[in-house]
Amino acid sequence: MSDTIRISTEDRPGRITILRVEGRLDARAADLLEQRAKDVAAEGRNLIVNMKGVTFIGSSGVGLMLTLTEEFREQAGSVRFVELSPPVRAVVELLQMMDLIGVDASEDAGLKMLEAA
Amino acid sequence: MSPSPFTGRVWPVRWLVTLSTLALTVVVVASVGAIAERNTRRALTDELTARLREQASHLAYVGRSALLAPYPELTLHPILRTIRERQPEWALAVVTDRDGVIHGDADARRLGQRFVPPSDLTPWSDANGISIAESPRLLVAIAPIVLANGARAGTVYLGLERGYFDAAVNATRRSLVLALALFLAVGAAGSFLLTSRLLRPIGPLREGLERIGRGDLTTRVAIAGRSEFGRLAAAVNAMAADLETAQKDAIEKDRLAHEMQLARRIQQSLLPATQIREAGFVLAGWQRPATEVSGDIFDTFRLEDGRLGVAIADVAGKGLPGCLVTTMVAALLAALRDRCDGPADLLATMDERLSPKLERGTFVTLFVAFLDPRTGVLTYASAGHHPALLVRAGGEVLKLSAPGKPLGTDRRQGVRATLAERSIPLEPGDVLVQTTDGVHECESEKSGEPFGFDRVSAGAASWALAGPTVLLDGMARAIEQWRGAAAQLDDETIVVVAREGEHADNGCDPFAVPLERLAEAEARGVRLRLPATLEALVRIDDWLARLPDFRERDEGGRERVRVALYELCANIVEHGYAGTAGQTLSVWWTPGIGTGFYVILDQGKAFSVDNREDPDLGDPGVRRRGRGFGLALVRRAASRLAVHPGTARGNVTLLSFGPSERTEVTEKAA
Repeated sequence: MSDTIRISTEDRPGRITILRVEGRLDARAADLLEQRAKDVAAEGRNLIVNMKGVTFIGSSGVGLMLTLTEEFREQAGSVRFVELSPPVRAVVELLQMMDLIGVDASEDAGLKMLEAA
Repeated sequence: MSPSPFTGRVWPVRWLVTLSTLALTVVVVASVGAIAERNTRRALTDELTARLREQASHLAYVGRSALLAPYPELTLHPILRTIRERQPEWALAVVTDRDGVIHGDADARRLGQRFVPPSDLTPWSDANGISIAESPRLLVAIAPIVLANGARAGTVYLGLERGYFDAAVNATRRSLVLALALFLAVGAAGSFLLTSRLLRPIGPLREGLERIGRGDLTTRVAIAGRSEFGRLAAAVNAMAADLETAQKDAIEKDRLAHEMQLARRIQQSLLPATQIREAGFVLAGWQRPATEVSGDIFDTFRLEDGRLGVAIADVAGKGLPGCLVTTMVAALLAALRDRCDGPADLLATMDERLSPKLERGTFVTLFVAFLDPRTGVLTYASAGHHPALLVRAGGEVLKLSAPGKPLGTDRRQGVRATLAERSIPLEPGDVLVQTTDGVHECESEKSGEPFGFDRVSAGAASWALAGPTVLLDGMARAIEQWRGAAAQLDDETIVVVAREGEHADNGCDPFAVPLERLAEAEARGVRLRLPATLEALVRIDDWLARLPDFRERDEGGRERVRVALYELCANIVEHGYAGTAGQTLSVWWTPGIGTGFYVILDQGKAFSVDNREDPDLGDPGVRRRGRGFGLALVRRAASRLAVHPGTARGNVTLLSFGPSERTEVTEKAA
């Protein structure tokens, strides 16, 4: 059962960090991811969150996606959410949030968007 | 369309044929020439050898008398000189004595010298004592001069320049080459003209095919003549004609399909868009046509005198003819319902108007019921339609029948005399269900058994409590499941007249009665009991995975159920119990209303959904807070949500997820 969350980090050149999230992104896991993302923001790096392995997302996870978008924007940075898994996509679409957050099909597409910005 | 897919270099057939002809001519003429030259050379050699021999023997004869005379030179020299002068081709003409001393030569200076024959002479043939030898330059006859007593007196050498007959051969060859050139010119011109003429039809054929390729299927290629091109042109023309017919057919088919869709849209627009709800009564209907258009029709309406009405008709014949008759029925019904005394009079009057217009063999069964909401009395009449079912609040099912022949079955006298009205009061909780044949005759894919009246009444009885929307939806799904993958053979239509139960203060809404739903869930639902901790909520996933309702949904549908249940339970854990240890909550899934419903029971602090606004996600303030739209998620994920805080059993949350778009639309409309 995927009752734990796993987050792996990869730093890329161009001041970009990729966080790969796997497992259930519920209320407790959202706090964990938020801390990791804020560390990235504190270093002044841009962020890519790969959500390919997310098996469940609750309102706190979705709320985090909006919070991160807002916070990176305030610091003149940017966050891209890539490879949304079907559960994530279903919930994001249910809330009609596609226009509010930056979504890309792949890490490469996310990197391109960040480089172009 | 591209004019021609061939873009490479073109090799014109006329040039290919002409060049082949030329090559062949050259080979043939050259071989013939070579053979002729060899023969000429051989004939010439024979001829010249004979001439050499003759001349040599002649000289030997002259030489013999000369050598016997005291001064042979005096006789021989003038003869040989004359020979050389007259015939320069005789390059060698010498007479010697038996010691090889020259006694006769055209050149006087060589007289008396010893004759040395050319060193490269090779003997070649020998006949009549005269031998022939040859060198690359000369052909030489050597004739002995023999005296009468047989003694050898000398030798005659007579040589002919080979160049002489080479000249003759060359002359022959020149005339041959000339002839060849002439042949070539004539052959080339002839074959070019001939192939050009034979290949002339290719141009029109190519143009014709290109026009057909561009879509001009009326193109015909006109090529007369009995060559293969004539047959090819005929085949191309036949192909164009076939394509033209096929295209016309396809257009006609498209047009028909489009018109059928228009017809369907018009027919759909004749059906009532919403249910009628008045004074505790609900009138509703549902239809699923077998083809684009239906031979069934239903209507729910309000009469001018305040009564409510429902009608359901089945025309013998479906598809377009059936559909056309249904539009007549609908129009007559709308025009006549307020001018007639009651259902029977309405049916009889409709029969009188309709009969003359129906084709022979076409008839209509029609059930009409008027309901007086003030008294609750339902008056109905049936023109040959099967009995309606009345499901009583207690679960008892009555068959409501009334006599009458179908509309259009008695053209002379009409059906008025056969019709009779019946009346029955509807008690609270009663539901009248009437269908068309397509419903109870729907055959099972597996057994071929029809759905039957018993299943209609059992379905009506089990869903009656949940109200018309759920009842119609449940029936629709039940029929569909019964049929399986088999084709729908007939139109399916259901109408419902329901009187709301006394317990229901919110229409026929089953979600308004939480304790009944909870009892139902405890009786036949699937339960999940959870400790009230966030960690435990993971178990919802495993529990859901075993539910048939959950498994049948598509991925998006499953995600909606998962996220809604998680959010509601998380809310109870975090806010309702606020982290108090040792508490539990329960979740049930219960089949029965539509796709089944979910019940959540907890004993935490009550909360209400009604005083919470949906958050505006575009508002930076809301985004800043991040959280707080768990409930928005639930509202959007579930098709129905009812929260009943503080009941006798605790907080009861009811929710359901629509099976299809259709249900959501009717719920919104209702």
